[in-house]
Amino acid sequence: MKNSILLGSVACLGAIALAITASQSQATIGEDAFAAHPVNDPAFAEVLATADVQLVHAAPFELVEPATHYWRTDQPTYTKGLLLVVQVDPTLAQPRQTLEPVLYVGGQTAERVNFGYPSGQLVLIVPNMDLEGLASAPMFFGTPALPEQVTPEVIAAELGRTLANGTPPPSAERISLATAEPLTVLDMGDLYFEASHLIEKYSSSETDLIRGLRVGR
Amino acid sequence: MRSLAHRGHLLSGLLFATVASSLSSASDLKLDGQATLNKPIGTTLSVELKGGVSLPALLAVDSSPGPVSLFGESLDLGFTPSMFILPGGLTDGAGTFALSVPIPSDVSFIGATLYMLGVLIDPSDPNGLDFSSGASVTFTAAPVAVKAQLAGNPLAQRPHFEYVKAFNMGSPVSVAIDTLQYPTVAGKSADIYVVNAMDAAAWDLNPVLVDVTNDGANSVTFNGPDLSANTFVVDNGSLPGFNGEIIGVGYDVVIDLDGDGKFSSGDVIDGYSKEAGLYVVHDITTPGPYAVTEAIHNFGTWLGQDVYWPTNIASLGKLPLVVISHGNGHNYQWYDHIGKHLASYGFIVMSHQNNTVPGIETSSTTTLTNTDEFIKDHGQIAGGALIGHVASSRIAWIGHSRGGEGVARAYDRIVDGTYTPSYFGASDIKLISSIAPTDFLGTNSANPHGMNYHLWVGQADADVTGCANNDIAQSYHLLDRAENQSQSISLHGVGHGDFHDGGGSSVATGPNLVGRATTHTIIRGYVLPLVAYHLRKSAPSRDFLTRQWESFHPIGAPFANPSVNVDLQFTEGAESGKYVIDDFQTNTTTNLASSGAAVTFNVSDLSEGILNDSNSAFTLSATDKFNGFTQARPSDTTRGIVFEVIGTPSVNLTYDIQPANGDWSSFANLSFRACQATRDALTTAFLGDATFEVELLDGSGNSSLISIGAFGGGLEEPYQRSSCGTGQGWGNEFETIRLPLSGFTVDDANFDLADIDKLIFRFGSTHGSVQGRFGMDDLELTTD
Repeated sequence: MKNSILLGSVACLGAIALAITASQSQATIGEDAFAAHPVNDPAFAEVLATADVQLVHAAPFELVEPATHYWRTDQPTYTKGLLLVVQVDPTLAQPRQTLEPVLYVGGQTAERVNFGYPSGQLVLIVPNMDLEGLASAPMFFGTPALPEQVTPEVIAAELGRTLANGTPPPSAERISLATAEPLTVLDMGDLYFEASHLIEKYSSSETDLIRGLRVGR
Repeated sequence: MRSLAHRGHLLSGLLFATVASSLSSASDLKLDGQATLNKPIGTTLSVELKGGVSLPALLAVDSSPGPVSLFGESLDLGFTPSMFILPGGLTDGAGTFALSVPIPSDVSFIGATLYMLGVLIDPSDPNGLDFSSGASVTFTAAPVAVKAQLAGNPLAQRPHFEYVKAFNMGSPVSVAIDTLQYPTVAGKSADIYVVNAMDAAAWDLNPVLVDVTNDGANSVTFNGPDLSANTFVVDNGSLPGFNGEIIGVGYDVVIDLDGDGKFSSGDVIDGYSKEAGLYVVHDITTPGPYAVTEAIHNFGTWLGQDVYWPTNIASLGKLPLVVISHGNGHNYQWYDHIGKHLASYGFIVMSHQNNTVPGIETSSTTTLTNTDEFIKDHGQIAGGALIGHVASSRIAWIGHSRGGEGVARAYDRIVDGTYTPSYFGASDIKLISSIAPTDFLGTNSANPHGMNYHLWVGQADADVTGCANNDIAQSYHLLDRAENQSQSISLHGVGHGDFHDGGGSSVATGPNLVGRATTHTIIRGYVLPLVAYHLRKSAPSRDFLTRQWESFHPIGAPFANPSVNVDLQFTEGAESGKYVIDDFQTNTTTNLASSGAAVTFNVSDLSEGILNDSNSAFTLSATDKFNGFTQARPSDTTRGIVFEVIGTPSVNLTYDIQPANGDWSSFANLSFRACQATRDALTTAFLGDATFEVELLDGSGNSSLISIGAFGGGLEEPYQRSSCGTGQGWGNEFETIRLPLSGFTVDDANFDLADIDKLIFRFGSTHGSVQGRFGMDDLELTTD
C-alpha cells in the first residue's frame, strides 16, 4: 500500500510538472492541486475513485452534550462517534474555495477538523459510528460538493458506487493498530481540543489552527 | 426707515434669549469679543459682560450711543425713550455674565446700529452701580455664500481642471474658477485664502480669514481669457494632513473679492458647510495614531475570535465594528494586516472562526452567531476593556472567499427572515465587503440585496479564478446583484492567498505577480477609506473610492511598481437621486435605452445582453459576443453592451435624450462603467489604457466634449493571464468613469446643461484609441 501512495504522489508530481511546463510564461505559485485536479475535469473523478484513504488513528468518543453534524443536509445530532486520523494524497486535501471532494467513511460524511495540507494527514470526526462499524466502512473521496448540500440519497449512491468499485474497508489489522483509548468529553469544544493534539502530532505545520482550537482551554 | 418697533422686537429677542451667568471686578462689555462690530442678520450674537463675582447684571440697549452724564459718570449710551433695560442674572464665579442672542433674519434691520451698556449692581461701587464701557453692533445683510467648487488640480486637456475633495499631503493645491459661470469674479483682483474648515454657523460667527498655507493668502486677478488662465496654485504642499483617527484635515477656500479679510457678502467659498472645501490626507497606508491591543478569545464552539482595538479605548467613545469572516482553509488569525491597521485608526475589528468547510450556509451562520456573540458578550474580553465602546449600529462585514460569499448570504438570511439576530439587525450593517468570494448559492441566496456592497478581486487568483468554466469561481456575480451602492477594486497580479497574512503561497497564476507584502500595502490604503466612508461618512475617503487609481491613490501605495494595476468601480444607489440613462435592464433592443432615449450607433458589432460568457473558456469566439464577461451566471439578469471600433477615425454611440429628461443642471457627474474585452485582436493589438471622448450637445446645438483620459488613466487592458482556453487576457474588468458635468460648461457661456439633447460617445483615432472592443454599462447622472 505504501508503494501505491508513492506512485500516486509521483503521478501527481508529474501532473504538476506538466502543468508548469504548459504555462512557461506564467509564474505559478501554490496552485498545484488546482492544476493537477481541476474539479470539473472528468478525469478527476477517476483520480478520486482510486485515491487511497489510509487509517492511521481511531478513537471512539462520547459527548455529554449532543452535537449537530452540519456536514449533510439532514444534520443529525450525535453523542458518540469516532475521532480518526487518515492519510491521503496531500493534493486532494489542499483546501480550495470551490468544490472539494467530500470525504466519506462508509455511509457517513466525515467532518474534517484540519486541512491536512501539506501533510496529507486529516483529522476527522465521524458521528454515530463505532469501531465495529468502521470495519465495514470503506473510506473514500466522493464527488466534489459542499458537504452541507449532500443528501442521504447522495451518500447512499456514493457508497454504492464505491462498494461496486471494490474499495475495501480498513482491515481488522489496520483498525487494531490504529485504535486508541476511547474519549469521553463534555462537548464539541472539548472534542476539538482533543483533536488539536492529533493535529499537532500528524500535521504539525497547522499551528494557527491548533492554537485556535486551544484558546481558553 | 428702520423703526424702533423693529428694535424693540430685537430687544425682546435679547430679553428672552438663553442666559448663562457669572463675575469679576472691572466691568467690561464685549459683543463677539469686540466692542464694535458688524453682524449679519440671521446669525447669533454673543454678549459677554465681565465684572465682579456673583453680582446682578443688566444690559441696557438703545439706538443712540450717548454719551450721557449720569450718576456722576459719563455713560456710553443715549438713554433715549426707546431704551430697554434687559434683566439678566448673576455673574458667575469668574465674574462673567453671558448671553447668546439670535438675530432675526429681518432685512429691515440691515444698516441699523444698536448700542449696549452693561450694568452690575455692585455694593462696593461708590454709587452702587458698575457701568461698563459701551459696545455696539451694526446689522448687515446675511452673507450670501457664493458656494463653488474651487480646489483641485490642473489638467493638460479639457476640461483643464479637476475639482476634487482630497489631496495627498505634500501635493500642491490649485484653485480655478470659470469666470463665465461666475461673472462676478471676472476681471476682479482678489485674495485667495486657504483657511481651517468651518461649518456655516462657525463662519457666520467668525468670518475673519486666516490663511494657513506657508506663504499666506494669494493675491490674484481673474482676468484670464479662460479657466486655465484663471487657475492658481494656492499651496505648494505645505498643508498638514494628519488628523489622528480622522482621514484628512479639512480646509475651506475663500476668494475674498472685496479684500476686507473677511468672508463677506459676494465672496466665493469652497466649503461653508459641514463638509470642508478640501481635505489634505496623510499617508493612509501607515498606521494611525493609536497603539493596538489584540486578544484572542473563545466564546465557545465556532465562537473563537481575534479582536483588535485601540489600546487607549477607555478615552475614546463608541467605535465602529468591523467583522472579518475568513475563507476555506484559512484561519481567523490571518487578518492582522487589516485588524491592526483599522484599530490604529479607531475601529474595533473582530475576526472569527468561520465554519467554511461544510459550505456557505454554515459559514454564514458563524458570521451571524459571532457578530451576535461579540455584541452580547464583548465585556468578557480583556477585563471589560471594550464595554461601552462598541458601536453596534455601525458594522461592516468583510469576508474572504467562501467567507466572502458567506457574509452576503448572512445578510440575505436576515432580509429573507430565515435568521433573526438577537443583538443587531439588518439596519446595523452598513457595508458588506467580499474578498474574492465564491458563488455557490447563486442568484437568490448569494445576494447582498440593498446593502452597500464592495468587492475585491485578484486577477491572478488561482483558486476563485474567475474563469468562464466555473460559475462558482466568478466573484463579480455578487457585485452585479447588489441593488444599492456598489463598488469594487480589481488588482492585477494578486492571488487568492495574498489577501490574508497566514503565510503559505499566494495561490496565484499569471504574469507580474505582486506578492503578499505589496498587496497588503494596497489593502491598507484602500480598506481604511472604504470603512471610514461607510461607517464614519468620511468625505475625503470617497475620493479614494471614486477617482481612478492613476489619478489618485494613497501616498504609500505602490504606484511606481509596474506590476501593480488597480481598477475601481463605484456605482451609486438609487436612493442617491441618480438618473439612469441606460442600464440595459429594460428596453432591451439596441436602439432604445432603458430611460426611453433613442439610441443610434455606427460602432461595429454592437450586441446587448447578459454579461455572461456563454461558454466555458475565454477563447475568442465569433458566436460568444460576451466573451470574457463574468458578471452574471445564467440565472442572473445584469445586462450591458459590447461593441467594436475597427480602426476608423470616428464612430459613435449616440443617445438622443428626451426633452423631459434633458435638464442635467442639478446633477454632478456623468458616470458609466466600461471595459476592454479580453483576447480580441482589437484589444491585444495595443495593450494599454484605452480612451475615447464623450460629447454633449445641448438643445441649441452647442457641443462640449471631454476625453475619458483627461483625468488620468482610461480603460485598463485585461490582465494578461493565459489558460481558461487559448490566448492571453483574463476576464473583462469594468472601470467606472465619472465625468463632472461642470467640465462640459468650462469656457463656454452658451452651453446649457439644463437642455441636453444628445449624449455621444465618440471613438476612433480622432477621439482616442484607434481601435478596441469595449463593454459598457450603467450610464447614469449622479448627484455627488
